[in-house]
Amino acid sequence: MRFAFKMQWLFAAAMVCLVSTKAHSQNSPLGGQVNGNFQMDAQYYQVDSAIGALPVPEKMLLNSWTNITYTQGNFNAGLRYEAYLNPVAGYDPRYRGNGVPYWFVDYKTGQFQVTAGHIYDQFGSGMVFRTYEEHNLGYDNSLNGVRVKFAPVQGLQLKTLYGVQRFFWDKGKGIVRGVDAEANLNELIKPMGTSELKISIGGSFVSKYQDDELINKTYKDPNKPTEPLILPLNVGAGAMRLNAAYGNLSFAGEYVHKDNDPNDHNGYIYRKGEAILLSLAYSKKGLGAFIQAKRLDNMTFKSQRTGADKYLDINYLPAITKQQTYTLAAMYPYGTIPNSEMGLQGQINYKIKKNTLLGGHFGTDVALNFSLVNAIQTDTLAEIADLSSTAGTLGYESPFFAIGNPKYYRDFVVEIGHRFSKLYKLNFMYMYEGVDPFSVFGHADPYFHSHIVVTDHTFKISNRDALRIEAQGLFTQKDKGSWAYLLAEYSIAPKWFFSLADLYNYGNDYSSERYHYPLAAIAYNNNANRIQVSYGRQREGVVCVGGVCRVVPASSGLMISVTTSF
Amino acid sequence: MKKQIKRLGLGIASISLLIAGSCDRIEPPYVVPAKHVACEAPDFPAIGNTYKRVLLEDFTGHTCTNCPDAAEATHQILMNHADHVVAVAIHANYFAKPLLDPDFTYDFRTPQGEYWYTYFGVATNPIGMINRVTTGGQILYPYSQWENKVTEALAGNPLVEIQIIPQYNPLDDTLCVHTKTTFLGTYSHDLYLSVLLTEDSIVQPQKKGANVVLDYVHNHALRAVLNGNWGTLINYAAPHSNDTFAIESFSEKFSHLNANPMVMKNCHIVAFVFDGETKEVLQVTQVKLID
Repeated sequence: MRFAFKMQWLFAAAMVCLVSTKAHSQNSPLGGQVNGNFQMDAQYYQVDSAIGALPVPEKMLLNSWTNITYTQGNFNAGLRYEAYLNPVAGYDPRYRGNGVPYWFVDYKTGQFQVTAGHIYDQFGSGMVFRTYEEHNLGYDNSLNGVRVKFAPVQGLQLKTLYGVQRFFWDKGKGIVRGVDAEANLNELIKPMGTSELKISIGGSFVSKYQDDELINKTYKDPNKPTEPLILPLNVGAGAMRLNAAYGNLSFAGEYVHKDNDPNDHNGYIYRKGEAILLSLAYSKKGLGAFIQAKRLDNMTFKSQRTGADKYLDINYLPAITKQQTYTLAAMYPYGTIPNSEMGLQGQINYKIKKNTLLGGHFGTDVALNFSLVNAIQTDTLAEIADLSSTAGTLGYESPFFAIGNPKYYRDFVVEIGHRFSKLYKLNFMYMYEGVDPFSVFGHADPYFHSHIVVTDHTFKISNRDALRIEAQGLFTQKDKGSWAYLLAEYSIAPKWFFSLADLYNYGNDYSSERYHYPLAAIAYNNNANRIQVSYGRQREGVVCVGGVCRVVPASSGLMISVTTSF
Repeated sequence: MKKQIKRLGLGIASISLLIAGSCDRIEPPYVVPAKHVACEAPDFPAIGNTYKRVLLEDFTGHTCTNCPDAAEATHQILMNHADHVVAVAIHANYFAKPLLDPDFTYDFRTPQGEYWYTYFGVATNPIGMINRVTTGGQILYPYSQWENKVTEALAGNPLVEIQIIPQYNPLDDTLCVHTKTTFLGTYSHDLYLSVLLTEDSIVQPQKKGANVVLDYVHNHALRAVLNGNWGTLINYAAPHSNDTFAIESFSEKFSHLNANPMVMKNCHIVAFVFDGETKEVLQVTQVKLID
């Protein structure tokens, strides 16, 4: 079912009338401003059975997105056209098709702002409510409904919204409602206006409604009858947050409490959910540090009780691990486990001053980061021994401070960046990583460790030309063994970019599976336009953004990516 | 302007309070309480020749002017197909509401009828379902199509057979209904049993076109459902053989089944087995409550 409602196509037609034929933003005849952007990712697939790249019947797959927004004074409107014909490998096939799944109109006047249509928004850190779209993950949980923002006085913002969430080309079965209030005390309370202590507080409440359905409590004893569950049709979650800053110190804390929410991600238990996220940071010139702690207990919160799969999240649970960008460091990424997780992350950034022994002529940047993530302790309730599932029970007890098993993830990263001369800069990284593949990826393999070393060299050849070389190694005796990665990028500013890379699984226990994954790319930039063509192999892997992950299958072939904005 | 802002702000605050109050807290044991069955299940006779029967559900109401035509169509279908069709008239929602008009104060509605009206997306009356089968996204059909749909649904052999033995104890007004579902073939989804009480020959006014028929005879009216919106799970998806069966018993005070007094000799027990995933009816049986 597509969002091919008459209203949206009329709306799209109206938007087209306002857009100039030229692909750059400009004033419309009606006096407003039109902006937009376009992205297309297309891939031509070759069969490459060695790496598990399976045949693609269509030969070529394509994803594209076109955003157009129109602004005139206090009025704002926009839409996004999407086409997945058919979706690229690794994208959920339920995206197949094309249409306008996103549109909105927005009007702001004085203290009010009203939005109708598809809404992206967030309350606090997002742990009780966040709707967003992320192309790389194939994720879009926009809320189709209405939002009203009201700022009655300076320093106080109220928000209320309700709607239904996008589910591919259809909508989820649940209705979501939410309200949020945030107060900046320094603006609200006059005496605090000049205080060095900055405080803002916030509170939210979100609830979802879904029709009743038939879920049963079932017993191991076949003679014992099943019992239909009394499902809560309305499920609420409340959150409180505090942000404070004083001098170089800042603190952010948020606590979420979710009411009984039996669903197919928690085994239909009636246990309440709880999340807490605390961050403390220190920052001054040349030195920054932060420490963050998180605990999640039964915090899957979706607008559909069953069949939502990885989608229809009402909330967003931020990752407590650093998102890595180097290829081998990102090979085993950690994604948030919403129902049972407790973790700690810390980082120190320090700039060794220039013109010192260790700082050299230009200074040296040093960063240390660590993450520790475990399950929470869960003590299964005795009554479950007689049941064939946990449905219709409270599930488990969990002492708040008890660290549970399994150990999901560990990492420790040291990064040193040093500019040796105006022409040469080096970034060095060492990372220790420990991961439980079963909990994190669903692979039935034991916990394993790896060491990753990266050297990233940038040579300035001339005012326009630069050469960057990355040499990486991942050393492990588990999973597929050790890997080496070499990348050379040559850029001719501002327009041209060339790269050659090879990823080599030299440490695979099976010599016949020690594959190379070469990849060549050329990119051309012209102002806001970019086109990139690459050819080569891509290994099967996982892409994560902000703790949410997507599996990418192995593939081989030609890839074209075009982006432009206007 | 300040007043308007104040009012709008109050409006938002009110909506916010409503949102904040929107949650259902369920207390243990979290399950629909099992009904205590007051009477022991009897011995069921062996099943004889089995044949497929079809459930025809007609959403209707006493102020629905076209509904008598649908009732007539139902009657014709029952005549055409003898014991192969079981009809249930579900009086629900707008056209079934009791009115201040003294002709239409009677309340035909049931909680399960109201729930199914909403669940199956009924928007107009008369409209009906045949075995709750969805074809091409459509589950509701106008009465002009019921005969064809019934004929389609009668094709094939039944996967289950249902037997019903009702018992009534006049001393304490307890009605017991015992059902035995025998599985005749393999099926890949969970199966559920629903048990209903219908009543014939209810004489109450009915709108018919531009007129009101004061002594209209309402038949097959749904009066009660003994086991909730979605029935009772009787078997998990598994290959079944002929000697597999499920016995379920229900008991209730007869007079508690419906706020309106019912004439027992006009009542039937209807039991149907449906697919828990698709909601499609596999088989239906009807017996008189008392002979």
